[in-house]
Amino acid sequence: MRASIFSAPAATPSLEALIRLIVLLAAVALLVFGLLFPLFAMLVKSLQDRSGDFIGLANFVQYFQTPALVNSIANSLRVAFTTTVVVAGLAFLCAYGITRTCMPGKRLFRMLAILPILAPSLLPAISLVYLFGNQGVLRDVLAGHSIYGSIGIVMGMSFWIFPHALMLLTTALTNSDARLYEAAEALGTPKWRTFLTITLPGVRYGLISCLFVVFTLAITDFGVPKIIGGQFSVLATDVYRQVVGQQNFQMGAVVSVILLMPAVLSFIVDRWIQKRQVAQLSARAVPWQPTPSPLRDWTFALLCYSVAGIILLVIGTAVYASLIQFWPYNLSFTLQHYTFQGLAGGGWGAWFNSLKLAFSVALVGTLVIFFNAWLIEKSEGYRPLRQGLHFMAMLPMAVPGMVLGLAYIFFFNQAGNPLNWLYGTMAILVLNTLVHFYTVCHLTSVTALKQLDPEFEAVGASLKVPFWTTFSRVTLPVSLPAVLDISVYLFVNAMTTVSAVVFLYNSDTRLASVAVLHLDEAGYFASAAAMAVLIFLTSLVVKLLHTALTHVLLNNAQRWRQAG
Amino acid sequence: MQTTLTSPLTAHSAAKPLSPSAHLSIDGVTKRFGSFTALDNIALQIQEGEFVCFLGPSGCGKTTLLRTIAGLAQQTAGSLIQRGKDISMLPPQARDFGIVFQSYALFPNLTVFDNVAYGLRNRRSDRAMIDARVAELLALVDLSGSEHKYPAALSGGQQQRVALARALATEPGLLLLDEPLSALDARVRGHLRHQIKALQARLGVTTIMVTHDQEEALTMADRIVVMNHGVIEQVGTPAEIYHQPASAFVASFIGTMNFLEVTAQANNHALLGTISCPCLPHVYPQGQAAQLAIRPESVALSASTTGLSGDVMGIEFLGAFQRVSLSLNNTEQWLLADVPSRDSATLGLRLGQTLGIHLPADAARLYPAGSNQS
Amino acid sequence: MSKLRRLFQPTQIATALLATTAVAFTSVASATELTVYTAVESDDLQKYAERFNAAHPNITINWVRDSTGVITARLLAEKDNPQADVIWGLAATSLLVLEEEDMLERYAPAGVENLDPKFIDAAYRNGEDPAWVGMDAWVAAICYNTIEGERQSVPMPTSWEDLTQPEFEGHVIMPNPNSSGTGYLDVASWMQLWGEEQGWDYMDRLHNNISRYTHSGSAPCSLAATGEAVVGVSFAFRGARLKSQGAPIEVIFPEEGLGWDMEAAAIVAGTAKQEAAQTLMDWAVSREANELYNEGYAVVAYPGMAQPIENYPADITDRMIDADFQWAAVNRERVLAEWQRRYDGKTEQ
Repeated sequence: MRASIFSAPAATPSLEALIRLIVLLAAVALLVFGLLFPLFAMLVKSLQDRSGDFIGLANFVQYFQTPALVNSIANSLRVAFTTTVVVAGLAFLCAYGITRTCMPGKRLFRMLAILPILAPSLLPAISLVYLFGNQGVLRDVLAGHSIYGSIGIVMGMSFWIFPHALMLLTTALTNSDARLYEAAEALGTPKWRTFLTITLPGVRYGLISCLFVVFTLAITDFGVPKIIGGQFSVLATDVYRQVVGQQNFQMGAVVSVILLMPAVLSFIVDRWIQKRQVAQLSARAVPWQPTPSPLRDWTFALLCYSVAGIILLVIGTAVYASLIQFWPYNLSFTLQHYTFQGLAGGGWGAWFNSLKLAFSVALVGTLVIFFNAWLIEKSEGYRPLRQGLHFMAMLPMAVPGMVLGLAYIFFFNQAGNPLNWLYGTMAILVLNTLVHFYTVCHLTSVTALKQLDPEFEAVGASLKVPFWTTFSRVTLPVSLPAVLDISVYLFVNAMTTVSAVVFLYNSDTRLASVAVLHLDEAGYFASAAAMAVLIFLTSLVVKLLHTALTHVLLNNAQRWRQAG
Repeated sequence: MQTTLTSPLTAHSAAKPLSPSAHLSIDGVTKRFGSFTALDNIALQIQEGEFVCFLGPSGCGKTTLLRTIAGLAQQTAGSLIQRGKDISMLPPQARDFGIVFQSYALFPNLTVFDNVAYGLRNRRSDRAMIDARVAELLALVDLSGSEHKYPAALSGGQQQRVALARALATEPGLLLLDEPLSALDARVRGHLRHQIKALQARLGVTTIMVTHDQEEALTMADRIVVMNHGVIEQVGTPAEIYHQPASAFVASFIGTMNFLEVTAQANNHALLGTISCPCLPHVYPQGQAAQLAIRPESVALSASTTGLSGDVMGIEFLGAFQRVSLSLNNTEQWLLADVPSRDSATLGLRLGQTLGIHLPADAARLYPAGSNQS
Repeated sequence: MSKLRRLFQPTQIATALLATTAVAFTSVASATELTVYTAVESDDLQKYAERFNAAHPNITINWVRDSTGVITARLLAEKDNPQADVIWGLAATSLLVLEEEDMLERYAPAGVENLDPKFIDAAYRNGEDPAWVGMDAWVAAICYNTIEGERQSVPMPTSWEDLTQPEFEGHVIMPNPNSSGTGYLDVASWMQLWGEEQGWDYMDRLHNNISRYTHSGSAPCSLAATGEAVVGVSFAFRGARLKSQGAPIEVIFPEEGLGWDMEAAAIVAGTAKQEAAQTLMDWAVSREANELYNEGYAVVAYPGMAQPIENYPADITDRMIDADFQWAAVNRERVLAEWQRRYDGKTEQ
């Protein structure tokens, strides 16, 4: 080598390779210990009796011989199907309004439509009791039917699942090719035929994917049926009842395995569709721009505003319920329900714990998941390891929260497990929440990373810059919008989730979302509403901060992001 | 270094005795992806200060070979020796090269200055030294004054020059260029081609460039390595490659080539239909089917139609010359001939005309039948 | 951008990570921490801890609270690897079950001799150290919403039998005995009042009128208080408290007699914190503690000191049935299984 002033030794390459291998192994370990082993422990548990002896499928036989339990399968399927039809239909119409009409107030509607995501699924259930319960102002709308049961469950689920479906369908409907519509118009095709032959086929993958996402969310949701299900039991509440109510862990495991099946099935179908969807839209497609048509535009506007109105009504009801002295007999306003003084659930301490959890998951989870995605996408070598990691990163999507939480009990609470010390700590809640919401973050990371030049790492290596420098100086800053999206997604979900953590908190780590549940169980409905509203407001503030921050960042980055 | 001559690399035309000035010696390098062989027993010597082009159609393995040299891909077998040091198993960080990619791969969030200084920073050189070095490099690529711009504000050609400056910043012993000009439009490409070549000559840095563009390879390279299906077809100077293609593939890939089905005859002749044509010395036994390759510009046309002749079926005006498609009279084959514009008037070129054809023996080369399909 | 870039330097990331981790996982250290399992109404937990800490500031109580059934099941599930040090405020029937399983540590708290013998583990009378000591009695009651009753023409019940009348159909809510101690107390008391067979017969008829079974014992009264139900089968403590908060309810003590259970305290066998656990037990039988219990419960273990409580009838002690906790404990698992078989599948259809 020529003598050079620039030839000072760089980082030892072997050390760098070693570090890379170690972090890769750590990433694998995270998902093996945080996902695979617990799930395996749960499967084993479902095949054991109370004393831990292997009894084959006897628990399953017993399950299917207990009508009270088997009923729940049909119940779950029924509410999930109904919810899917309601949500997908409504979301399709609204998404159509957003993308294919010139209806006024699109931005406002999209903002309002996102709100349900910021609330725990317990919130709509509480509001529905106030709206449609025996004392509810809208009670007569149900024509004598009780809100406690399948009607309430479908309504509550529809509320909080709607934004998910709307986002998926809006994306699907945005990807249109104007050339097809122009061709149809030139041929004098009637509007309804254009819709059937161009619009629907164009969104079929997005639509099917949406149906499965909604179905999975509905069949695995715990919060809504727990609050408003009454005697109408579903699989998710059965898991809770078996485990928490009766401490029958074996039967809890059996119900979990059964609950896992529809979720896994819809996961497989969704993956299959995603694969087929690749490159459906050619790069030369011209986006379709709607032209004004007052009748159509206002029809859709009316529909969308009605949906937005319902969303605001549900949230507003929870806020109202939390501020009323003693509903329905003393309607004076008070803030006393926000003191949570001497009530179940841990009060403000629980809220603070949730905040800690949400910040920890947002920070740790974002870095870990994004970095792991980077390892998978941008590393050379260790191919089986990286493929295995990617597969495991996709799995959590198919694992319902109840199942994951229960699986954690089985795995981490084994007396012989060296990780036993994690049990009952904040750390296990962080781990559980991180794993629970891993997949969406992973996919977001991968999408963002795929948009980067594939040679950044090679350039860094050729310049003898260690990989972590290139990661922190280039990859991370360039992917910042996606990284922020991931962190706010994790934050909001950590704030609102109840299904997995309901099995894992202890007296020091009670969470706000679990507190909502316990307050409701104990009959403190106003305080339960107050806590749910508190969670919603916290998520809302963080979401607004995120929007502002993203805005500022993108403005600042405008200098280098502008097209050349 | 001592072990490099033991493998069957001598079977390859590229195998030469080790030269003391070899910068890089590639020996028996094989790369497999599952059952697919991307590189098959590659052997090659690259001299100090040389500009070498890897040329071939897409999928021929040229990029894989470049990435193997960089350590970005790991060979399945074989060794790489750079300046006497075995780098076969070293990660990219431990090898001595700079690299420029087709996509430029400039860091979009860093200024031109920070991009060029990227590899310098890490070496903890002091600030003034870095400033001076970056200024020097930007001057070298004609971009002085663009230090504080972001890549997105530069044109494609400018971005590629920044990438070049960045790759050269750490004074690598070897410069690797992976299709550096393919993303640019034709005019910029021609200009940058010249600039890179001049820069390379001035700095004397050993350079390997991967390209699928023969014109690029012919104009820039000291030597061209033509690759196909993971093997080296021929190594040689641009003139050797063009005028003495070692295989039908090389003959067909570089420039335009006529291939005529013939039967080999003794005494360096080949039978085309019923006419026996002289050709360059060949090794085929009498009566064996072969193909005769001749470039259009070597074909001579005349008004006299004795011997080989053909009918003009098409005339293409290409500026300096006209390309004539002929249907041969004694065999159902086609032939292209380039006629310099000033000669076409003499011939009175027109469609349907029958012309005599002369295939000069020193430009007619025999290849095995059916071997030019890549 | 340069600020941002600096933010992402590895050292900063590491520091930020460490800081967050520290915030998230640090818990306040103190002299002794006792993990106490309880089913005491969460309204009162803070008060219990405060009073106790006034006397013993160096012991921190970590409450694990859930409804009676849940806490019982949890203790049983953790039998091989107990997490609790002390149980303070759990149904005596549950403690009897735990004692069967040898999960309780026998200990005679200082001053236990001052308590009403009925409130002490029977073994004490035979000269052994008691496995558990009682604190107070909580008594079944019905919460009836007067406004809703009038509006929906549901008369005010005066007896358990009234609840099976046709006009109550769909208006009665009661706790699920599998999860709720109050629920089991009701079931056990009906069986002791009328015999097992008659008890099931009663519940079969009652079941027709039940709109749903709740997870906790206080929820039925809360639901009656907000008018979601007309009648909630619950317990006196909750009803009295809701009434004083202004709920339009009457707390009804059915004429057939009142089922009741004792809240009791015990040390979990195998605890590493013997000394602190015994300190807590000593305090739990003190006069001070009984005064505390008396703030919510009319009947406490310390004889002759109970003050009457608002919205409780003065003669409540006389109306409590002669409860056989031993029976309730021994038959608990069997009765609950049968209950589950009969009623747990109740769905909307």
